Amino acid sequence: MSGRIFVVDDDPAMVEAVAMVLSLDGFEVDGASDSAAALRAVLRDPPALLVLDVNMPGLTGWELCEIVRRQPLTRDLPILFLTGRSEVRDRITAMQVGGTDHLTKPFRAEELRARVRALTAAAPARGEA
Amino acid sequence: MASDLFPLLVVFVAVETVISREGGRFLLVGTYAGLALLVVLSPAPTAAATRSLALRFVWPAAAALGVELASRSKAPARVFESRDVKGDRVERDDRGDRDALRDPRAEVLHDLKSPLTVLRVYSDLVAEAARRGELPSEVHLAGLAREMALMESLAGVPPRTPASVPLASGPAAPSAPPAPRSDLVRVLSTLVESYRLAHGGRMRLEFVAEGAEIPVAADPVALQRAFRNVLDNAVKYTPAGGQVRVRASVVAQHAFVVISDTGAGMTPDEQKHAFTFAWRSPSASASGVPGRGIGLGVTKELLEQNGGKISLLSEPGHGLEVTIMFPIAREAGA
Repeated sequence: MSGRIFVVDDDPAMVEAVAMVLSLDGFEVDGASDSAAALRAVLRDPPALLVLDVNMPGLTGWELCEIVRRQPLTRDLPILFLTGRSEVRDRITAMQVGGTDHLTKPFRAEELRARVRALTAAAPARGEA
Repeated sequence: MASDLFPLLVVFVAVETVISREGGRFLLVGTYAGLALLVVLSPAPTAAATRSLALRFVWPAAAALGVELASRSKAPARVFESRDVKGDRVERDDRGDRDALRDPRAEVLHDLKSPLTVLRVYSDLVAEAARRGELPSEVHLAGLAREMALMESLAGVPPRTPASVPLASGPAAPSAPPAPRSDLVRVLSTLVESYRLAHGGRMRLEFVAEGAEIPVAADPVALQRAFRNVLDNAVKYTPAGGQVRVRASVVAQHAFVVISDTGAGMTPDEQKHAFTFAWRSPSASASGVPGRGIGLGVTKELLEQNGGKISLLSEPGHGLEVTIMFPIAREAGA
Protein backbone atom coordinates (compact mmCIF):
# COMPACT_ATOMS: atom_id res chain seq x y z
CA MET A 1 0.00 0.00 0.00
CA SER A 2 1.33 3.46 -0.75
CA GLY A 3 0.32 7.09 -0.90
CA ARG A 4 0.88 10.20 1.13
CA ILE A 5 -1.16 10.95 4.22
CA PHE A 6 -1.21 14.28 6.01
CA VAL A 7 -1.89 14.24 9.76
CA VAL A 8 -2.90 17.38 11.67
CA ASP A 9 -3.02 17.36 15.47
CA ASP A 10 -1.90 20.04 17.91
CA ASP A 11 -0.16 17.33 19.94
CA PRO A 12 3.06 16.45 18.06
CA ALA A 13 3.19 13.15 19.98
CA MET A 14 -0.10 12.18 18.37
CA VAL A 15 1.14 13.10 14.90
CA GLU A 16 4.25 11.00 15.53
CA ALA A 17 2.29 8.01 16.84
CA VAL A 18 -0.15 8.06 13.92
CA ALA A 19 2.78 8.33 11.51
CA MET A 20 4.42 5.30 13.14
CA VAL A 21 1.29 3.23 12.69
CA LEU A 22 0.56 4.25 9.13
CA SER A 23 4.14 3.87 7.97
CA LEU A 24 3.79 0.15 8.77
CA ASP A 25 1.48 -0.08 5.77
CA GLY A 26 3.89 1.72 3.49
CA PHE A 27 2.31 5.14 3.63
CA GLU A 28 4.40 8.24 3.48
CA VAL A 29 3.19 10.42 6.33
CA ASP A 30 3.55 14.18 6.67
CA GLY A 31 2.20 16.07 9.61
CA ALA A 32 1.75 19.40 11.29
CA SER A 33 0.69 20.66 14.70
CA ASP A 34 -0.36 24.05 13.42
CA SER A 35 -3.65 23.94 11.51
CA ALA A 36 -2.98 27.06 9.43
CA ALA A 37 0.38 25.71 8.27
CA ALA A 38 -1.31 22.38 7.59
CA LEU A 39 -3.96 24.04 5.45
CA ARG A 40 -1.32 25.76 3.32
CA ALA A 41 0.58 22.49 2.88
CA VAL A 42 -2.53 20.48 1.99
CA LEU A 43 -3.77 23.01 -0.56
CA ARG A 44 -0.30 23.28 -2.10
CA ASP A 45 0.15 19.53 -2.43
CA PRO A 46 -3.03 17.53 -1.73
CA PRO A 47 -2.38 14.16 -0.05
CA ALA A 48 -4.25 10.89 -0.61
CA LEU A 49 -5.87 11.23 2.80
CA LEU A 50 -6.17 14.01 5.37
CA VAL A 51 -6.33 13.01 9.05
CA LEU A 52 -7.61 15.78 11.32
CA ASP A 53 -7.89 16.42 15.02
CA VAL A 54 -10.90 18.60 15.92
CA ASN A 55 -9.82 20.75 18.88
CA MET A 56 -6.82 22.75 17.77
CA PRO A 57 -5.55 26.26 18.33
CA GLY A 58 -6.27 28.56 15.40
CA LEU A 59 -8.42 26.80 12.85
CA THR A 60 -10.32 23.88 14.31
CA GLY A 61 -10.43 20.59 12.43
CA TRP A 62 -14.03 21.22 11.46
CA GLU A 63 -13.20 24.65 10.04
CA LEU A 64 -10.16 23.31 8.23
CA CYS A 65 -12.31 20.57 6.70
CA GLU A 66 -14.89 23.08 5.47
CA ILE A 67 -12.21 25.18 3.78
CA VAL A 68 -10.60 22.15 2.15
CA ARG A 69 -13.98 21.04 0.85
CA ARG A 70 -14.53 24.41 -0.86
CA GLN A 71 -11.34 24.16 -2.92
CA PRO A 72 -11.62 22.45 -6.33
CA LEU A 73 -8.35 20.54 -5.90
CA THR A 74 -9.29 19.06 -2.54
CA ARG A 75 -13.06 18.88 -2.87
CA ASP A 76 -13.09 15.08 -2.97
CA LEU A 77 -10.16 14.45 -0.63
CA PRO A 78 -10.99 11.74 1.96
CA ILE A 79 -10.88 13.25 5.45
CA LEU A 80 -10.69 11.20 8.64
CA PHE A 81 -11.38 12.93 11.96
CA LEU A 82 -9.56 11.69 15.07
CA THR A 83 -11.25 13.20 18.08
CA GLY A 84 -12.07 12.75 21.73
CA ARG A 85 -15.64 13.76 20.95
CA SER A 86 -17.78 10.69 20.83
CA GLU A 87 -21.37 11.88 20.83
CA VAL A 88 -23.67 11.18 17.88
CA ARG A 89 -24.05 14.93 17.46
CA ASP A 90 -20.28 15.29 17.04
CA ARG A 91 -20.26 12.58 14.41
CA ILE A 92 -23.07 14.37 12.62
CA THR A 93 -21.16 17.65 12.72
CA ALA A 94 -18.09 15.90 11.34
CA MET A 95 -20.16 14.71 8.41
CA GLN A 96 -21.89 18.07 7.98
CA VAL A 97 -18.59 19.88 7.55
CA GLY A 98 -17.52 17.33 4.94
CA GLY A 99 -15.69 14.63 6.89
CA THR A 100 -15.53 11.19 5.32
CA ASP A 101 -15.04 9.20 8.52
CA HIS A 102 -14.67 9.68 12.26
CA LEU A 103 -12.56 7.75 14.78
CA THR A 104 -12.91 8.39 18.50
CA LYS A 105 -9.90 8.66 20.79
CA PRO A 106 -8.61 6.53 22.36
CA PHE A 107 -8.45 4.13 19.41
CA ARG A 108 -6.39 1.03 18.72
CA ALA A 109 -3.58 1.00 16.18
CA GLU A 110 -5.29 -1.76 14.20
CA GLU A 111 -8.54 0.20 14.04
CA LEU A 112 -6.73 3.22 12.63
CA ARG A 113 -4.94 1.09 10.05
CA ALA A 114 -8.19 -0.55 8.96
CA ARG A 115 -9.97 2.77 8.51
CA VAL A 116 -7.09 4.28 6.58
CA ARG A 117 -6.78 1.23 4.35
CA ALA A 118 -10.49 1.45 3.55
CA LEU A 119 -10.43 5.19 2.92
CA THR A 120 -7.41 5.10 0.66
CA ALA A 121 -8.49 2.00 -1.24
CA ALA A 122 -12.02 3.14 -2.02
CA ALA A 123 -13.01 6.10 -4.10
CA PRO A 124 -13.73 8.94 -1.68
CA ALA A 125 -17.39 9.15 -0.81
CA ARG A 126 -18.46 12.03 1.35
CA GLY A 127 -20.95 11.43 4.07
CA GLU A 128 -20.20 7.78 4.62
CA ALA A 129 -19.22 6.85 8.18
CA MET B 1 -53.27 53.82 11.32
CA ALA B 2 -53.36 50.03 11.66
CA SER B 3 -53.02 49.63 7.90
CA ASP B 4 -50.00 51.99 7.97
CA LEU B 5 -48.35 49.86 10.61
CA PHE B 6 -49.13 46.46 9.08
CA PRO B 7 -46.40 46.31 6.37
CA LEU B 8 -43.91 47.61 8.85
CA LEU B 9 -44.87 44.95 11.37
CA VAL B 10 -44.49 42.24 8.73
CA VAL B 11 -40.97 43.46 7.96
CA PHE B 12 -40.23 43.79 11.65
CA VAL B 13 -41.35 40.26 12.47
CA ALA B 14 -39.36 38.87 9.54
CA VAL B 15 -36.21 40.71 10.62
CA GLU B 16 -36.75 39.70 14.21
CA THR B 17 -37.11 36.05 13.22
CA VAL B 18 -33.85 36.05 11.28
CA ILE B 19 -31.99 37.96 13.99
CA SER B 20 -33.24 35.57 16.63
CA ARG B 21 -32.28 32.53 14.56
CA GLU B 22 -28.81 33.92 13.99
CA GLY B 23 -28.27 34.45 17.69
CA GLY B 24 -28.14 38.24 17.48
CA ARG B 25 -29.96 38.71 20.74
CA PHE B 26 -28.42 42.09 21.40
CA LEU B 27 -29.90 43.42 18.16
CA LEU B 28 -33.26 41.96 18.99
CA VAL B 29 -33.32 43.48 22.46
CA GLY B 30 -32.16 46.83 21.12
CA THR B 31 -34.82 46.86 18.43
CA TYR B 32 -37.55 45.95 20.90
CA ALA B 33 -36.40 48.60 23.36
CA GLY B 34 -36.40 51.24 20.62
CA LEU B 35 -39.84 50.25 19.44
CA ALA B 36 -41.26 50.30 22.98
CA LEU B 37 -39.72 53.72 23.61
CA LEU B 38 -41.19 55.13 20.43
CA VAL B 39 -44.63 53.78 21.21
CA VAL B 40 -44.51 55.22 24.75
CA LEU B 41 -43.31 58.62 23.57
CA SER B 42 -45.80 58.81 20.70
CA PRO B 43 -49.38 59.12 22.06
CA ALA B 44 -51.02 58.76 18.64
CA PRO B 45 -48.92 56.81 16.17
CA THR B 46 -49.42 58.14 12.69
CA ALA B 47 -48.06 57.32 9.28
CA ALA B 48 -45.23 59.76 9.94
CA ALA B 49 -44.39 58.01 13.17
CA THR B 50 -44.43 54.73 11.30
CA ARG B 51 -41.95 56.01 8.73
CA SER B 52 -39.86 57.38 11.55
CA LEU B 53 -39.95 54.01 13.25
CA ALA B 54 -38.81 52.34 10.07
CA LEU B 55 -36.01 54.83 9.49
CA ARG B 56 -34.75 54.85 13.04
CA PHE B 57 -34.90 51.23 14.08
CA VAL B 58 -36.02 48.57 11.66
CA TRP B 59 -33.88 49.46 8.67
CA PRO B 60 -30.73 50.09 10.73
CA ALA B 61 -31.35 46.75 12.42
CA ALA B 62 -31.82 45.08 9.05
CA ALA B 63 -28.66 46.73 7.75
CA ALA B 64 -26.71 45.61 10.80
CA LEU B 65 -28.07 42.13 10.29
CA GLY B 66 -26.95 42.22 6.67
CA VAL B 67 -23.43 43.21 7.72
CA GLU B 68 -23.37 40.47 10.30
CA LEU B 69 -24.63 37.84 7.88
CA ALA B 70 -22.10 38.97 5.27
CA SER B 71 -19.25 38.64 7.76
CA ARG B 72 -20.52 35.25 8.82
CA SER B 73 -20.65 34.05 5.26
CA LYS B 74 -16.85 34.52 5.14
CA ALA B 75 -16.32 32.49 8.31
CA PRO B 76 -19.35 30.30 8.82
CA ALA B 77 -20.26 29.90 12.43
CA ARG B 78 -22.39 27.48 14.25
CA VAL B 79 -22.87 26.53 17.80
CA PHE B 80 -21.58 23.00 18.13
CA GLU B 81 -23.05 21.05 20.94
CA SER B 82 -21.67 18.12 22.82
CA ARG B 83 -22.14 16.28 26.07
CA ASP B 84 -19.59 15.88 28.79
CA VAL B 85 -18.75 12.69 30.63
CA LYS B 86 -21.76 13.05 32.88
CA GLY B 87 -24.10 13.59 29.98
CA ASP B 88 -24.59 17.31 30.65
CA ARG B 89 -25.06 19.38 27.56
CA VAL B 90 -22.15 21.67 26.74
CA GLU B 91 -21.82 24.04 23.84
CA ARG B 92 -18.94 25.19 21.73
CA ASP B 93 -19.11 28.29 19.60
CA ASP B 94 -16.53 28.03 16.85
CA ARG B 95 -16.34 31.83 16.52
CA GLY B 96 -15.69 32.47 20.19
CA ASP B 97 -13.76 30.30 22.60
CA ARG B 98 -13.14 27.72 19.92
CA ASP B 99 -11.85 25.04 22.17
CA ALA B 100 -13.89 25.46 25.26
CA LEU B 101 -15.98 22.62 26.45
CA ARG B 102 -17.54 24.63 29.22
CA ASP B 103 -17.32 22.07 32.00
CA PRO B 104 -13.74 22.13 33.33
CA ARG B 105 -13.90 18.45 34.37
CA ALA B 106 -14.85 17.52 30.84
CA GLU B 107 -11.99 19.64 29.54
CA VAL B 108 -9.44 17.84 31.71
CA LEU B 109 -10.78 14.41 30.84
CA HIS B 110 -10.94 15.36 27.19
CA ASP B 111 -7.33 16.48 27.39
CA LEU B 112 -6.30 13.06 28.66
CA LYS B 113 -7.69 11.25 25.62
CA SER B 114 -4.79 12.22 23.36
CA PRO B 115 -1.96 10.96 25.60
CA LEU B 116 -4.03 7.86 26.35
CA THR B 117 -4.41 7.25 22.61
CA VAL B 118 -0.69 7.67 22.03
CA LEU B 119 0.01 5.28 24.89
CA ARG B 120 -2.39 2.73 23.48
CA VAL B 121 -1.03 3.03 19.94
CA TYR B 122 2.57 2.51 21.03
CA SER B 123 1.64 -0.43 23.27
CA ASP B 124 -0.21 -1.95 20.29
CA LEU B 125 2.90 -1.56 18.14
CA VAL B 126 5.11 -3.18 20.80
CA ALA B 127 2.61 -6.04 21.22
CA GLU B 128 2.44 -6.53 17.47
CA ALA B 129 6.20 -6.88 17.27
CA ALA B 130 6.08 -9.44 20.08
CA ARG B 131 3.41 -11.45 18.23
CA ARG B 132 5.69 -11.56 15.21
CA GLY B 133 8.50 -12.80 17.45
CA GLU B 134 10.50 -9.60 16.94
CA LEU B 135 12.11 -7.24 19.41
CA PRO B 136 10.14 -4.03 19.85
CA SER B 137 11.41 -0.99 18.01
CA GLU B 138 13.48 1.44 20.10
CA VAL B 139 11.40 4.29 18.67
CA HIS B 140 8.16 2.66 19.79
CA LEU B 141 9.57 1.97 23.26
CA ALA B 142 10.75 5.57 23.54
CA GLY B 143 7.29 6.82 22.57
CA LEU B 144 5.73 4.52 25.14
CA ALA B 145 8.14 5.72 27.87
CA ARG B 146 7.49 9.36 27.05
CA GLU B 147 3.72 9.03 27.27
CA MET B 148 3.99 6.91 30.43
CA ALA B 149 6.07 9.70 31.99
CA LEU B 150 3.43 12.25 31.04
CA MET B 151 0.54 10.20 32.41
CA GLU B 152 2.46 9.43 35.60
CA SER B 153 3.30 13.06 36.16
CA LEU B 154 -0.37 13.97 35.71
CA ALA B 155 -1.30 11.28 38.22
CA GLY B 156 1.35 12.47 40.69
CA VAL B 157 3.38 9.25 40.50
CA PRO B 158 6.97 9.89 41.67
CA PRO B 159 9.54 9.70 38.88
CA ARG B 160 11.78 6.69 38.54
CA THR B 161 15.05 8.39 39.41
CA PRO B 162 18.08 6.82 41.12
CA ALA B 163 16.97 8.39 44.40
CA SER B 164 13.71 6.40 44.31
CA VAL B 165 15.44 3.05 43.78
CA PRO B 166 15.26 1.15 47.11
CA LEU B 167 18.62 0.99 48.85
CA ALA B 168 19.87 -2.52 49.27
CA SER B 169 23.04 -4.06 50.57
CA GLY B 170 24.97 -7.17 49.69
CA PRO B 171 26.27 -8.52 46.46
CA ALA B 172 22.79 -9.16 45.00
CA ALA B 173 21.80 -5.50 45.20
CA PRO B 174 20.67 -4.19 41.85
CA SER B 175 22.87 -1.49 40.42
CA ALA B 176 21.24 1.91 40.20
CA PRO B 177 20.36 3.05 36.69
CA PRO B 178 22.61 5.78 35.32
CA ALA B 179 21.59 9.31 36.19
CA PRO B 180 19.65 10.93 33.35
CA ARG B 181 21.55 13.53 31.39
CA SER B 182 20.43 16.00 28.75
CA ASP B 183 22.01 18.65 26.62
CA LEU B 184 19.82 21.73 26.89
CA VAL B 185 21.20 23.19 23.67
CA ARG B 186 20.27 20.12 21.69
CA VAL B 187 16.80 19.77 23.21
CA LEU B 188 15.96 23.44 22.77
CA SER B 189 17.39 23.90 19.29
CA THR B 190 15.35 20.94 18.01
CA LEU B 191 12.19 22.20 19.68
CA VAL B 192 12.54 25.79 18.55
CA GLU B 193 13.17 24.63 15.01
CA SER B 194 9.94 22.61 15.02
CA TYR B 195 8.01 25.61 16.35
CA ARG B 196 9.64 27.80 13.73
CA LEU B 197 8.40 25.45 11.03
CA ALA B 198 4.86 25.54 12.39
CA HIS B 199 4.59 29.20 13.44
CA GLY B 200 7.47 30.98 11.73
CA GLY B 201 5.17 32.54 9.17
CA ARG B 202 3.21 34.30 11.90
CA MET B 203 5.93 35.36 14.32
CA ARG B 204 9.65 35.42 14.85
CA LEU B 205 11.13 32.55 16.87
CA GLU B 206 14.71 32.82 17.99
CA PHE B 207 17.09 30.57 19.92
CA VAL B 208 20.37 31.77 21.37
CA ALA B 209 22.71 29.57 23.41
CA GLU B 210 25.89 30.43 25.24
CA GLY B 211 28.03 27.44 24.39
CA ALA B 212 27.74 24.42 22.16
CA GLU B 213 26.53 22.17 24.98
CA ILE B 214 24.83 22.76 28.34
CA PRO B 215 24.59 19.45 30.21
CA VAL B 216 22.01 19.05 32.94
CA ALA B 217 21.04 16.05 35.07
CA ALA B 218 17.50 15.78 33.74
CA ASP B 219 15.49 13.35 31.68
CA PRO B 220 15.38 14.56 28.05
CA VAL B 221 11.78 13.41 27.57
CA ALA B 222 10.61 15.35 30.61
CA LEU B 223 12.58 18.38 29.48
CA GLN B 224 11.10 18.28 26.02
CA ARG B 225 7.57 18.05 27.43
CA ALA B 226 8.16 20.88 29.88
CA PHE B 227 9.71 23.24 27.33
CA ARG B 228 6.98 22.39 24.85
CA ASN B 229 4.30 23.46 27.31
CA VAL B 230 6.01 26.80 27.84
CA LEU B 231 6.57 27.32 24.11
CA ASP B 232 2.95 26.35 23.37
CA ASN B 233 1.79 29.14 25.67
CA ALA B 234 4.26 31.65 24.25
CA VAL B 235 3.14 30.94 20.70
CA LYS B 236 -0.55 30.93 21.60
CA TYR B 237 -0.52 34.25 23.42
CA THR B 238 1.83 36.11 21.10
CA PRO B 239 0.00 38.02 18.36
CA ALA B 240 0.99 37.87 14.70
CA GLY B 241 4.17 39.81 14.04
CA GLY B 242 5.40 39.23 17.60
CA GLN B 243 8.47 37.44 18.84
CA VAL B 244 9.31 34.43 20.98
CA ARG B 245 12.88 34.27 22.16
CA VAL B 246 14.65 31.36 23.87
CA ARG B 247 18.00 31.98 25.55
CA ALA B 248 20.14 29.36 27.27
CA SER B 249 23.11 30.33 29.40
CA VAL B 250 25.28 29.16 32.28
CA VAL B 251 25.83 31.23 35.43
CA ALA B 252 27.67 29.95 38.50
CA GLN B 253 27.24 26.24 37.80
CA HIS B 254 23.59 26.67 36.92
CA ALA B 255 21.90 26.51 33.54
CA PHE B 256 19.30 29.15 32.84
CA VAL B 257 16.70 29.00 30.08
CA VAL B 258 14.68 32.16 29.53
CA ILE B 259 11.68 31.96 27.22
CA SER B 260 10.24 35.40 26.56
CA ASP B 261 7.41 36.51 24.34
CA THR B 262 5.74 39.71 23.25
CA GLY B 263 2.23 38.59 24.10
CA ALA B 264 -0.34 39.94 26.52
CA GLY B 265 1.62 39.03 29.65
CA MET B 266 0.16 38.25 33.06
CA THR B 267 -1.03 40.29 36.00
CA PRO B 268 0.58 39.59 39.41
CA ASP B 269 -2.56 37.69 40.40
CA GLU B 270 -2.44 35.55 37.28
CA GLN B 271 1.22 34.78 37.94
CA LYS B 272 0.33 33.70 41.47
CA HIS B 273 -2.16 31.12 40.18
CA ALA B 274 -0.40 30.17 36.94
CA PHE B 275 0.92 26.85 38.24
CA THR B 276 -2.37 25.77 39.81
CA PHE B 277 -3.67 22.72 37.99
CA ALA B 278 -6.60 23.45 35.63
CA TRP B 279 -6.69 27.15 36.57
CA ARG B 280 -7.22 29.73 33.83
CA SER B 281 -7.42 33.44 34.34
CA PRO B 282 -10.67 35.14 33.33
CA SER B 283 -8.76 37.22 30.77
CA ALA B 284 -7.21 34.09 29.21
CA SER B 285 -10.63 32.44 29.05
CA ALA B 286 -12.16 35.56 27.53
CA SER B 287 -9.35 35.93 25.00
CA GLY B 288 -10.63 33.07 22.87
CA VAL B 289 -7.20 31.45 23.00
CA PRO B 290 -7.82 27.77 23.62
CA GLY B 291 -6.36 26.23 26.74
CA ARG B 292 -7.20 24.24 29.83
CA GLY B 293 -4.87 25.70 32.42
CA ILE B 294 -2.90 22.47 32.71
CA GLY B 295 0.38 23.11 30.89
CA LEU B 296 2.27 25.24 33.39
CA GLY B 297 1.26 23.08 36.35
CA VAL B 298 2.53 19.97 34.59
CA THR B 299 5.67 21.82 33.54
CA LYS B 300 6.48 22.77 37.11
CA GLU B 301 5.99 19.15 38.22
CA LEU B 302 8.19 17.80 35.47
CA LEU B 303 10.95 20.34 36.12
CA GLU B 304 10.98 19.87 39.87
CA GLN B 305 11.07 16.10 39.47
CA ASN B 306 14.24 16.65 37.47
CA GLY B 307 15.90 19.12 39.83
CA GLY B 308 14.77 22.24 38.00
CA LYS B 309 12.92 25.38 39.05
CA ILE B 310 10.63 27.69 37.15
CA SER B 311 9.63 31.31 37.72
CA LEU B 312 7.62 33.95 35.88
CA LEU B 313 8.20 37.62 35.28
CA SER B 314 5.64 39.75 33.51
CA GLU B 315 4.02 43.09 33.20
CA PRO B 316 0.55 43.05 31.63
CA GLY B 317 0.73 44.11 28.01
CA HIS B 318 4.48 43.62 27.82
CA GLY B 319 4.86 39.90 27.38
CA LEU B 320 5.89 37.09 29.68
CA GLU B 321 9.35 35.89 30.63
CA VAL B 322 9.63 32.32 31.91
CA THR B 323 12.93 31.42 33.58
CA ILE B 324 13.90 27.80 34.12
CA MET B 325 16.96 26.86 36.12
CA PHE B 326 18.89 23.59 36.47
CA PRO B 327 22.13 22.70 38.21
CA ILE B 328 24.82 21.89 35.66
CA ALA B 329 25.43 18.15 35.42
CA ARG B 330 28.77 17.02 36.81
CA GLU B 331 31.01 14.91 34.65
CA ALA B 332 30.62 11.16 35.25
CA GLY B 333 32.89 10.13 38.08
CA ALA B 334 33.52 13.70 39.20
